[in-house]
Amino acid sequence: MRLGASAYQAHAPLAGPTFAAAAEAGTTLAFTSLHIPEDSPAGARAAAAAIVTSAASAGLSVVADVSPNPARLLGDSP
Amino acid sequence: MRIDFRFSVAEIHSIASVLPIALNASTLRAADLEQIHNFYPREWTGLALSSVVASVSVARQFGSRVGAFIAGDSVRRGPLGEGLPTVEQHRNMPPLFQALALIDAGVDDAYVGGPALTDHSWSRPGSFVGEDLVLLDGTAAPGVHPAVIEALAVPDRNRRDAAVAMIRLEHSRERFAELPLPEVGGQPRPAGAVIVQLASAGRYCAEVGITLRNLCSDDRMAVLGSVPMQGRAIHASSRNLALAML
Repeated sequence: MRLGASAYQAHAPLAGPTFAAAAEAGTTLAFTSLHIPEDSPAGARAAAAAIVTSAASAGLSVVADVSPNPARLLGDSP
Repeated sequence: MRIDFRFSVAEIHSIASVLPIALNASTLRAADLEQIHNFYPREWTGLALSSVVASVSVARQFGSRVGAFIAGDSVRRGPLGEGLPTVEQHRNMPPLFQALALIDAGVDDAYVGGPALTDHSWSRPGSFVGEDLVLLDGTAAPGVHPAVIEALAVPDRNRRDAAVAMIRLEHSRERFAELPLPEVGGQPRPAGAVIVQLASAGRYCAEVGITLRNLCSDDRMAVLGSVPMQGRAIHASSRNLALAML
């Protein structure tokens, strides 16, 4: 079994400490969701980038939950 | 249209958006695919564990991995703050027990859905994933000798022929035989009681067990303490166990 830890835009300050503690315990995966209805579109791209950076610096591989809307929000045009 | 080879994933996606496609069954590396369950933020909307078991069985037919979520135990994400588990019965269980239940269901990857766990709560599933050790936190009964508590913290394992009503620590008889065990038995044995057989149990003397259900009291056995017993995932055959008793 592999373990994963999660981070979200609404709890952005927790991403760094959570990923660090999780990696210390042997976690190898990170999860975030880019399409939570309550999240503000403003700053979503920066928040997602910060979460991915935190995960990468803890050595975790990231799984990001997406739907077409957040993909557009982040600058893609599917 | 059958996609044979040399297409990128992006190209396959763009073709699939306009035409039904078939993939190459001979070369598809299905193990690279993972199916990850939802988490369910609202109480009573999570799945049954049996649904997860069924999904694993389908995924295995295609050789793909399955992921699922376990609820955190510290910060819970809003707006509801009711945890983010896949399985409803896991919503308020300790993270370790949730992870064990998912692995018993065949899940490959367990994601903590919430945005934080305590360091302690990370360490327990971490020990399981990293060292294959289930470290249970419990409470010692009053008066149990510190040497006995120390011995409980040493990793042991359930017997290969796992009993239906209790975990039996395989090497406990030799490990506890010379220790200062309680002199009086007969205490109540609810589910999760950590018990030791006394001299009156004959050749079973010093065997340590953990009850999986309520058992009637027995003068040949003394209770050393208790561990939480939520779900039955900890009692698998040959599972490595250690007890951290405070």
